[in-house]
Amino acid sequence: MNNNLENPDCFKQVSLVEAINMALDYAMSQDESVVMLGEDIGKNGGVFRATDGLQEKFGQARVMDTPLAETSIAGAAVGMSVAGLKPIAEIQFMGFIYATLEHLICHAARMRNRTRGRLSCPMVIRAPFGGGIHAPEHHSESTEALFAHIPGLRVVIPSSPARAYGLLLAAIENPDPVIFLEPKRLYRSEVHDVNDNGQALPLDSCFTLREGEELTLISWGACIKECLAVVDQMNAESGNDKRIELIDLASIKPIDFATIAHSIKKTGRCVIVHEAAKTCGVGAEIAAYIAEHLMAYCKSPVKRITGFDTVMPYFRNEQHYLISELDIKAAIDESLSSDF
Amino acid sequence: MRYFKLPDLGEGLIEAEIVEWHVKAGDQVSTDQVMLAVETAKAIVEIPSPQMGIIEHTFGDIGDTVHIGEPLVEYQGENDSVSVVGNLSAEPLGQVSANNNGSNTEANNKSQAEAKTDRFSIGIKSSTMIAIQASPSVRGLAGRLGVDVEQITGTGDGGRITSDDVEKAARMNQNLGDSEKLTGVRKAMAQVMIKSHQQIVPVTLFADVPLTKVASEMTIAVAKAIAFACIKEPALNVWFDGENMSRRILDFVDLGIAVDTEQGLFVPVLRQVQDRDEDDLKAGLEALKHAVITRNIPPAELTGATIILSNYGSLNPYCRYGTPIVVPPMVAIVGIGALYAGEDSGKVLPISLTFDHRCVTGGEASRFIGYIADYLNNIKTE
Amino acid sequence: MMPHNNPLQYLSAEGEPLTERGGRHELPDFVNDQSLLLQAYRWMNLTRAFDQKAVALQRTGIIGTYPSSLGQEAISVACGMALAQDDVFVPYYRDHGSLLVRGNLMEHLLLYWGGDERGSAYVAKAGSALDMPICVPIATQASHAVGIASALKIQQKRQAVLCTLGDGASSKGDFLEALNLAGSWHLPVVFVINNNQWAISVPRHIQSGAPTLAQKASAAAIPSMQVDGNDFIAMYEALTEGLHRARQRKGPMLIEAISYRLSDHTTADDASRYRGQEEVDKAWKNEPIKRLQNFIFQRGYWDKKAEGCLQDDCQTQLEKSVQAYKSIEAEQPEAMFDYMYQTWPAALDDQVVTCGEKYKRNYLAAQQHSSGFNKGA
Repeated sequence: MNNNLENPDCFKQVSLVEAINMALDYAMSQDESVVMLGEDIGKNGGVFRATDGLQEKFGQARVMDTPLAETSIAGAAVGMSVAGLKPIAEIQFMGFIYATLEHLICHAARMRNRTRGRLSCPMVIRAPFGGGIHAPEHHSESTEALFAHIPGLRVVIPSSPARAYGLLLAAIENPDPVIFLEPKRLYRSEVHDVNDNGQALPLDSCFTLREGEELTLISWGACIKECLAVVDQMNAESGNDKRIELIDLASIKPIDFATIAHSIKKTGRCVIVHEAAKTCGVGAEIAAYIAEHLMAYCKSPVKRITGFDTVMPYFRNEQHYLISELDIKAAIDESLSSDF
Repeated sequence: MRYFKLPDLGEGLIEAEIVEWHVKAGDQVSTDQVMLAVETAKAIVEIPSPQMGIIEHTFGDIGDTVHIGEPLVEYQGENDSVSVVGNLSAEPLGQVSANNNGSNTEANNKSQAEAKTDRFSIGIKSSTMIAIQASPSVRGLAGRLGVDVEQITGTGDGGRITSDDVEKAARMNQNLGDSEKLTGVRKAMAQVMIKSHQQIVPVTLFADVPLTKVASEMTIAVAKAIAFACIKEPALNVWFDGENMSRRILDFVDLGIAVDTEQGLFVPVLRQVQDRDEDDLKAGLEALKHAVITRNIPPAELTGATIILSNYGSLNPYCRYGTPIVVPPMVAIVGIGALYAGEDSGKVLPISLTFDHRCVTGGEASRFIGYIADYLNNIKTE
Repeated sequence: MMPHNNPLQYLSAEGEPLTERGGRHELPDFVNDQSLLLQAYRWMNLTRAFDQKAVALQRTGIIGTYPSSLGQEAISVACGMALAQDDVFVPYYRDHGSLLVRGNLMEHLLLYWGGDERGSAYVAKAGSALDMPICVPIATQASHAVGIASALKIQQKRQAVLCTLGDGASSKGDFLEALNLAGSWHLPVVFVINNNQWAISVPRHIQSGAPTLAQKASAAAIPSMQVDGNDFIAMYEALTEGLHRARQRKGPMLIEAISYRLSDHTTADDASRYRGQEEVDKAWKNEPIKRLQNFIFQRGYWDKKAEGCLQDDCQTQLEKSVQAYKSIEAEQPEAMFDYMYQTWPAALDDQVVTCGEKYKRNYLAAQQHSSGFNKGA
């Protein structure tokens, strides 16, 4: 039921990357201060086509192909946002985002604080991330924890077309800098019905994808695909459609601990899945929270299924690094069968 | 290589559309000779032959969509190789559905053609089920002492189970033997009753109904009487959604009949009671009871009741009254006790009706009992 | 020295010496060295054949994304040939010709682009043990080249460093900072910008408002020049001079080699989305191989028979290399841990065990899967 007369229902069957395009299109048409900048985002429509057709529609002044210089892209976005625009910068791959860190950490993340609210940086940095698409070196890493560690930044990762649409709109509307990381393995993997009605989703919230009572499975990004397959299969096989609860973290920073706590209190068991390397990954933060606040509800130790503490192997061997459905299932089985 | 399968031509592409074939079955091709052009989500790409050979068969016509990993070309006289061409496997390893003989791939392909539904809810889903609290050391102690922490009531902060609680429980077990863990139907009963207790606002009315004649099959007679009452006073034949404060008034009566067994309580459902004659209902009830006792009752026969009848009077001639428990989303349950002789030696049927006062008024419930009495005594009402 | 807007060029697009038509430059002496020119011509042809093969291998799923150097073979081969063995080469990712001339095996280049770390593991037969691996993060290699040049200077070694980059990379701070440092410290390094006019979809004029990229060196007081990157003779001449100066401790130099990317950016790109075919057709008229071919025919260094042999020879070498590449088994899964640290951290023990278990779990399942699938097929 949609009660918003200005934004009637408009369902479209789209992939995740098309949902990104749809959200960008919507935000650009609603708000003149929204601009986009990045490498190859104009005529080429982005190397993944996320910005396809937008330069043609909104002009070169609002959809800017930049010189090949990530530092400048981030620094210019800081300046633009301070001056009243809402820049959405695309970094072509997460592997090339590190040149932006000085601007993001030293300026975007703290402009509001430094000036006691006089100036702020309402900007979005979009970047595709993660492995599994046979991409060259430096094109497959997951380093979301780097940004999650920075006070003042928000980090958001969608895992379905509808959440990509709603969360990107929320990121654009948000008055603070948002790092919006797009799981590129999911860009075209599925097509869903998404309502192009301009409705944003909340930024500080987890999403419960499946309700369950015996174990809480927490993940985000591309791993959600394997998690869903495992949960649906395990719930169906056990004849209990409320067996495993699946939570899409979605907001990596800040984390919606209330939802996680609620779930752990119910299930008493937790498995965390992420593609990023294990040590100091975001999973460690969640496990630490559970240890601090929810230990007495836990029937078995928290388990993390993550990437290894290695450089992401080049794609010929990347399947030995990426997390499979069987890996997740094995961890769930182990957690369900072990007690303190 | 016998089959040449579509590789991932870009980065993370899943399919391609055939734009043009440059070769056909019977053609001799050389290595790197262009065989076809396809259009992906990113580009139009010409695909060469990875080897020399004669083409036995080409797969797909112009305009067809081919998914990664599906064959494009079959070469004559070649052995099949297990792997996809070259080093890049098109399918991910380690799928839970991996032993389904490839149906997995079909399912994937299908999913790409049709839009899937995406179910999710924002943040906390309300649930009343909260696990017990016990620290790992307490759980460890419980394990060593053979105590099930789920069976203990905690005395610590916020109901947390302490090591004292565990030791006390262990002593109890030692003295009294282990407690029995509820399973199966009895466990299900416990869960249903807890849920009912947490949600329902129950009121029970008691009635002594003098009967002018006594039916030979009291359960069937009362079943028909309930169906009659439901039609006259539909407010009790309802499914109620307390979360959304909405009710659904039902125009059919599917009557749950409580059946007592050694394993626990079963409630099989007699369907469409309002339209069936007593003989038919009797036969139906016997079949359901037999299925319950022989444990052949299909789960579907145990769900979907609109109201329940419990004839506890048939179990013991001294039982007259009860406060039966309403099971949501239903709003009413009728209990009947043993017939007894009234003041003038006439037979009296004790009826106990529990209703959910969130959704049903006392007046509706009183009238409902009245209609049951009328039906049993053959009194015609408007 | 200010860069001039007329790139250094000896041969016309048709391979005619410009001197004989009243051009500016006397042909350099090395054009009399028949074997050097034929060597260059052979390497350029092999580079082009390798590119074509690599694209076909990508299209059939045998390697991953690949950046063709089609049309830029003169720059790449001249870089390889101008380097002395103990000079240090610091490449970017479109230097297949240089890497081949340095003595890298084609099967090893394919390993890299086939997603196997061992592609960067080998010392090139005719190169330095310090030659850096292919650099993907744009322009970052420029700073490393400066560091290596600085080390060579401190160690009082008379070697030069050659660093390549694309026109897009010239927009990055890393490159401008590297120029600045090289000028400030007067380092033995030569930078070569392969200005192929396109950084993926972004044309040269969007990269910079400067009329030449060569002039970016001026602010660092580094001599620079534009060179016709499709003219092997001009490229070899400029590079030889630059590297010689560096070895003589005369400081750094920047060469802007002007060429054209006749291919897509990589196999993951579709250039027809953003540039017209007319422009590409025009650029084909300037391509470097035909130009050098015409010149060596005129000089009598080459004939049709030799040309036929060369093409066959390229194909034979390629087939051998592709077979060699295909016969290299993938590394064991645990190999991802092998080179993380020189001294083994005990904290990683568990992860290695997990990696082995994971392989067993998923590999066994894959075997079941494939046998089941074949039964059905």
